[in-house]
Amino acid sequence: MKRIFTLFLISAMACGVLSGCSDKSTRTTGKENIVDQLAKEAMSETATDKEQTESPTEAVASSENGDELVISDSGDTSDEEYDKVKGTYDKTAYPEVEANDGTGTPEIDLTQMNSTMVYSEVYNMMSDPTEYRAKTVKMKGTCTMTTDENTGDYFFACLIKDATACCSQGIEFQLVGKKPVPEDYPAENSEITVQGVFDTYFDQGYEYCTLRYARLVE
Amino acid sequence: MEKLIEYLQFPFVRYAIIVGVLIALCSSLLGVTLVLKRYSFIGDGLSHVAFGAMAIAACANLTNEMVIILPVTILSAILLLKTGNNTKIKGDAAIAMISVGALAFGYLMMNVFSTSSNVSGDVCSTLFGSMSILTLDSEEVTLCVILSVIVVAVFIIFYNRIFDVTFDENFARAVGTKVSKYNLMIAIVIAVIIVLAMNLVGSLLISALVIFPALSSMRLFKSFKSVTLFSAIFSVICSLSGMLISILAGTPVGSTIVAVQVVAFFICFIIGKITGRS
Repeated sequence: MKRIFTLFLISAMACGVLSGCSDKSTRTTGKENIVDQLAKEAMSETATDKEQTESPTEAVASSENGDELVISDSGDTSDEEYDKVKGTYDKTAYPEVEANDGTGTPEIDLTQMNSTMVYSEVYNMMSDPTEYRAKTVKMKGTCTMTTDENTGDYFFACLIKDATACCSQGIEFQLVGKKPVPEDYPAENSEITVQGVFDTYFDQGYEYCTLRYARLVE
Repeated sequence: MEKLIEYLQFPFVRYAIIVGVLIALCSSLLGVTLVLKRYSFIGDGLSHVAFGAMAIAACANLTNEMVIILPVTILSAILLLKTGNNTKIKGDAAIAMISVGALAFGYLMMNVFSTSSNVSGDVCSTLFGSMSILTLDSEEVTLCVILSVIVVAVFIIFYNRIFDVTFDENFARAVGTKVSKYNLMIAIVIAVIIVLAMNLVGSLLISALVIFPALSSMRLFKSFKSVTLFSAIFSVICSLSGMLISILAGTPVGSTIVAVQVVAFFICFIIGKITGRS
């Protein structure tokens, strides 16, 4: 009996050490991903959000040295203006993604799921993106925008919240044929339904998830 | 039913059901012992300790939070169960002290030193489980299966000893049972279950998994064996029902499971009253 007891203690401790291997944080990169950043911004920025919603055609991006780059509210952004704030992140799609234009019937239709399932599915898409790459995804949520402070790049995401609205998950989207600037995208905090092809890309060594060839669906 | 079948196609739903059932089974087995030893609230206390440890690990930016959570929880469980009533601070007071202390300390740490800007989201997720059970990967499921098999095996192998220690420690000691060692074993098993169960229902609701199956079972049965068996069945059915309702209705998993257990408890209570067993 003493031997069994000793064996149990050893196995319990071994399991304790093993359990560390399954920690969720090992599945994600050390850096916050864009959607995490967006989710946090959506939670914390209330006054700023309201201001930007009221005047969606004017966006301000802070540069590294604290100067502000202001995009004009002309309605359409010229290449010259866009290049001022455009960064150099790699937007190259995976080959299997290029074969899908995202117009077909969605393989993952998040609009048909309840909030629990949507939140869980999006979480899993972010955690294990290779399983979902090149699949057509349709989702409904809140449009959120953020900028890279170093490059001035704009990023837009469709954000969904869980039942208690304290946790958010979302996916960045790139509208087909449109530059990622506020003028060409929906206003922040507006309800959107977006359909696109799920893919990932690398920026400064970190992998990010995105919906390519995205279209806004009524 | 169509919706359920559709949802079951998702691997994370299947994982959640497997892990949920296993955690429910394990927690109910030890729940009977804890309730009879007057340690019903230990699950709550230990889960708060685990929350505090998780906060420290998060603030320290550890990629492997379990390195801190599991040892700290096991240590606390040993301190609470092993010392029992032989200390100046009695069992229930010690649990309350450790429980609120760890909860407050953890929340303070997360606010002051947290690297995440969404503190409310992190706290909500840890305290109420949120959707944790629906975000498990295959490695975590495998680990849970292994730990659950160990817990069930330990319970079966040491069933008689656990029975002795549960009802009368002095008598068990008198007949040569190494009570302190078995208390240590129970403490370790409980700590492992608590850490696992945090995924299912979150820190604040873990006690429900421990006490409701045991209390409901005691409304209907009298012997330790029958109470334990019914407790396990009750816990598994309630957890499974709770998860399915949650998935279909879009409600939070942890609180739905506990709500189902509360309803089931009252059903058992009424049946017990009618049949005169209660």
